[in-house]
Amino acid sequence: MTARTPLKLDGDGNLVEMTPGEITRIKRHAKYLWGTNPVITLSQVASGGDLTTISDTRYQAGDWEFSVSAYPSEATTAEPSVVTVNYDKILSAIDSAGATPIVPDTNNVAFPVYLDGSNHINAMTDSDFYDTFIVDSIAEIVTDGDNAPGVYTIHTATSLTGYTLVSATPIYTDTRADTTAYTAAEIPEANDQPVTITNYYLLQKDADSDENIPLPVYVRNADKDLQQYDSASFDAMLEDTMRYVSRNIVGSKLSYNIDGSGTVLGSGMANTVLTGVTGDYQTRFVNSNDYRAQEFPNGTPTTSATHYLRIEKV
Amino acid sequence: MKYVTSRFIDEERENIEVLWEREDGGFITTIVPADETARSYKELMKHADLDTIHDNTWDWINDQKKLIDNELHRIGRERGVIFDAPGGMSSEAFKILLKGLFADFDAVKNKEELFLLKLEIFELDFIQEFKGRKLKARLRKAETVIDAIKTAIEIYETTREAGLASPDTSD
Repeated sequence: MTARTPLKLDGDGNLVEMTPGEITRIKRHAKYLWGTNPVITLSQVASGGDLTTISDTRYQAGDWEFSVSAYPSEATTAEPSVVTVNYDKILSAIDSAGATPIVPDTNNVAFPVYLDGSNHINAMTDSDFYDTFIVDSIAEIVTDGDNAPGVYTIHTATSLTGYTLVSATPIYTDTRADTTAYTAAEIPEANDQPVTITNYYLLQKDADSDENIPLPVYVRNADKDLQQYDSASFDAMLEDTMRYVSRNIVGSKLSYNIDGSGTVLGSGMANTVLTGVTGDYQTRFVNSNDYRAQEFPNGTPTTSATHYLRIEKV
Repeated sequence: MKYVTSRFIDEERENIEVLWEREDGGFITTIVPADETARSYKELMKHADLDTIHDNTWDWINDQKKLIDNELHRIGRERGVIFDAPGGMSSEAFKILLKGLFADFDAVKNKEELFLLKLEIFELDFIQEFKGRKLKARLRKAETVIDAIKTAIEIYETTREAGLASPDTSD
């Protein structure tokens, strides 16, 4: 398991080692390919998502009271209470197509060749290939976070330049009691009268412009001659291996979570609530046989929790 | 998007709300962790330094306090529990005054209220300027709300008759 220096053909058809810059370009290309077909995807679902459930809490008015002789006292009217709405709207899916290595390595010559310390030409093992191109590319996906193609992000609007909206249905909505909606003249007011503070949406980073990469050389299995990969074959090797390693190899497996560890993806999702809610006691005189009272939500808005979508290697 | 402003949204100062102006002229907010390793935080630092964010937070809290204060006063006036004395007392305010004056008085339970009332009375200009030690002593020793108010009225009338001082008109 070692990062190797692959061989390529120069302009005169001679075998030469790739430069570090060329290897970096291939790694960026591998990230690009992964972004066009990531093995792990997120979607918006109505409920039952597998990422951590997050809650939106808000206050609602207490039940109204009435009396035929006098206003019900504040002691008898119910206090505002908390309404909790749970959001489990992000479902992750891991493509089963990436479960096994797709690149056939018959006779151990499928992967690019390199020069060993004795100037012998050897074919990389699959592990060498991972260490040369794949492991670093996956690490960069995590480092880049939602700047890496194919990675998801949270945003407070349905559009963001460079990203594609996954669903126009928010994956989380922060609400609070709409204190302006409650009036004494309308007692009995509906208990729960929320106002949407912020909607949070799931988006996915678009692929950036692609890299022009040098193509390595491999050992042709049929006659053991050396041959340069064609673009499509090498792309398939990179893409399939990126998908396999990011799905299966411990330490390079990619995983999304909410409020776990890893790189923050996009905006935090705030649960704002009113604090200092003592109940705004209000009365309504309807007639001499109908005195009503109800306690409305009051207080000042504050953030009680902030949740982040993250990506990490596990 | 164009940066507008940012502030902390929690007491722990772990999360920052950033206001952005979009290309279409609309505004959106995003929330950024106060984490130097986070890309979004690094992006924010291109537009604002930490001191500015703390200052913005302080300003925002003060603005909120003012808004809340104004709102409480508005509600209080609507309900008649806050009023502009002396000319603006509402019927609700009179109700509260009379209810407090003629409520059953418990020397133990209402001791603190009586003490606070006496403090307020002694703050009145005409009481402060009044030189009659006997009446002032009676006011200090008043054992009920009614006794305290009665003595204050007596001092008020004495000062008015003697022209010693103008009645207090401040609130």
